[in-house]
Amino acid sequence: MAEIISLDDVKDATVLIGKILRKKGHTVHTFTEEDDAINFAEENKVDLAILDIKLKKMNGVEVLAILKKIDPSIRVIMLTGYPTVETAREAISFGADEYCVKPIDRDELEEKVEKVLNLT
Amino acid sequence: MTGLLMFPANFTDMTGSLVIIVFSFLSLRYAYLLTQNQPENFLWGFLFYFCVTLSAFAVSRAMGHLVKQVLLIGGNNEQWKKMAPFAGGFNTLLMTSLAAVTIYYHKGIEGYRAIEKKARSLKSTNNELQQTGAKLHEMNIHLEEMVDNRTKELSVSEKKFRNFFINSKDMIFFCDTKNRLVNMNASGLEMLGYSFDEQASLNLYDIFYNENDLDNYFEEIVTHGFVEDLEVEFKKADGSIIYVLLSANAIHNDEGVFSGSEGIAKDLTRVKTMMTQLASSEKMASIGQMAAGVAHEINTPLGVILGYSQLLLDDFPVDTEEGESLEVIERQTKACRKIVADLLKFSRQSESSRENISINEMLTDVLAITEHSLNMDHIFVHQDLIHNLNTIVGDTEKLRQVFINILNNAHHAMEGQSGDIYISTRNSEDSKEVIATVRDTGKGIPEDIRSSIFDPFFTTKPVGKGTGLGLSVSYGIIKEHEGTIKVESPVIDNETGENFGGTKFIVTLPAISSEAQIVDTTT
Repeated sequence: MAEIISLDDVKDATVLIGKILRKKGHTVHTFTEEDDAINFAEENKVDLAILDIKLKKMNGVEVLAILKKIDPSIRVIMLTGYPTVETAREAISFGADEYCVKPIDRDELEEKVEKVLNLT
Repeated sequence: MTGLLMFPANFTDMTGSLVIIVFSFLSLRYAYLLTQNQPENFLWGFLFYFCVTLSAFAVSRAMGHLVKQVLLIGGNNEQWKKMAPFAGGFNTLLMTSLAAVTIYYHKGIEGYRAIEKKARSLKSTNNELQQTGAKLHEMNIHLEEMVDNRTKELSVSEKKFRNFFINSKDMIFFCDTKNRLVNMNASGLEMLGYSFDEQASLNLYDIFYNENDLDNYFEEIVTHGFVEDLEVEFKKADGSIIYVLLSANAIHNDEGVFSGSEGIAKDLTRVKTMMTQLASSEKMASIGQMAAGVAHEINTPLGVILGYSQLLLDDFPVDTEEGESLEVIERQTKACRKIVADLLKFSRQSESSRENISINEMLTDVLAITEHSLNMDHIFVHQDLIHNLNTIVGDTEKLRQVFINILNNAHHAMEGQSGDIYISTRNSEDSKEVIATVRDTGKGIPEDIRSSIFDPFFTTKPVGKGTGLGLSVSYGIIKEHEGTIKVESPVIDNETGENFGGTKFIVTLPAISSEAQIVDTTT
């Protein structure tokens, strides 16, 4: 099963994602700080990152760019309560695999994660 | 001997005597002519009498010498000796009278001078009088000129103000103390829709829509003498209302007695409508921003609630009581999510697609969904869709939602009674827009809420029956398509003025020219 990191400035939200995906058998590391997540990705092999766009210091798209630099093969799902055409376009251009709008349904999340992980 | 010796002297004596007579008579004649010419002249009168006396003296003296010479030559010395004293006496007498005349002249000349002095003073007085007269005359002429000029100036000024009155684009009127209209300019009459002949029978009571306004107006005029920038509603001849900005002054006659009022009114209806529209669009924009902000903030916690309730459902099967409760939480959270999504649509922050749309086709689709439930409530739809309607570009799904919302409102407006819905489409006159109207025969929208119907969460439906987002979302969608959505209630026919009641929604969307159509949007 996959190594997943989840980054959201709201702890409850990232913990929730962890709980849902762990039930699916994945290993999930939850973060609320950008730096912690980036450091983790530098030291460990990560298959998938689920990133909120609104973060504490930077925005999710910036984190996306850094993670892709660390490991271009990393899969990324962007998750946001502020969907805008600009961030969507930016995220896609930096190599995000999915762009989802909050609040995301459990089924939808599970489905998207499966889909992204199975991309070859 | 003596005779011969004396001859030159005697000759001179005789000739001189004759010459004296001739000269004196010439003088007399001349004096006479002078008196005839100027009978009033004292001097000539004197001269005449002087000449008469002189002539008499000349005749007497000359005749005396002539007789003497004749007698002496004839040797009648004796005879001359007898005559000589008489001749001398006569001469003396005449000389005396000449002196007398001269003395008389001397006195007379004094008198004459006195008279002349008087005459001169009279004359100078007369002159002064004449000068004064001339001055007066001049002044008189000048006065006439002045009056003339003033009249001209007045007429120019009168013309100026009359033109101002006639040509003013604002209403100008004059009223008497009973607020009866004395005079109103053409713009004013046009503004109110009255003819020129009707103005005589008009009173401000006919013009002011609110009697209170008129009472205020009149009181201000009487107590303060003026009103300034009073915003009032005027009633037109056809009963419709215009908003005006009114300024007026009291008029007083020469005795200072109040005699009426004069006023200028500017039609603000257009400005007011524009302001209302502006305020409305600003309100919508700020509501939209707020809604978007709220929606975004709520999305995250909503997602957490939804996720945890779904997670818990793993542990509590649906047939347990906890499971049922969790399902309710899940369902209600999803309802919240729907509202938030609608709010985002209203604030135009959700994405939309762009494709060529035939409004007619779209309306047909919408009716396919809604007509059945309308018919169930005895509401019948009448379509009048023009066949060569221009294409527009937009998001079919969103526009469909707009018309579903409008039809739902129409349905709601006719709840519990049968009714009709008229749907029509047409191109605008310049073909730049597509206009779709939906008219119902329902109860209409009360005036007091007409301005709120597009506000989010505004609803007339009972709590739980409607979110109050339908029309706000529709508004947002149409706005996003750069169109307009307007409402008329009650519906009044433009041509006949017939009141249909009910409500009409008019959706206007920009059309595209056939070349500019988007060829493919699915790539």
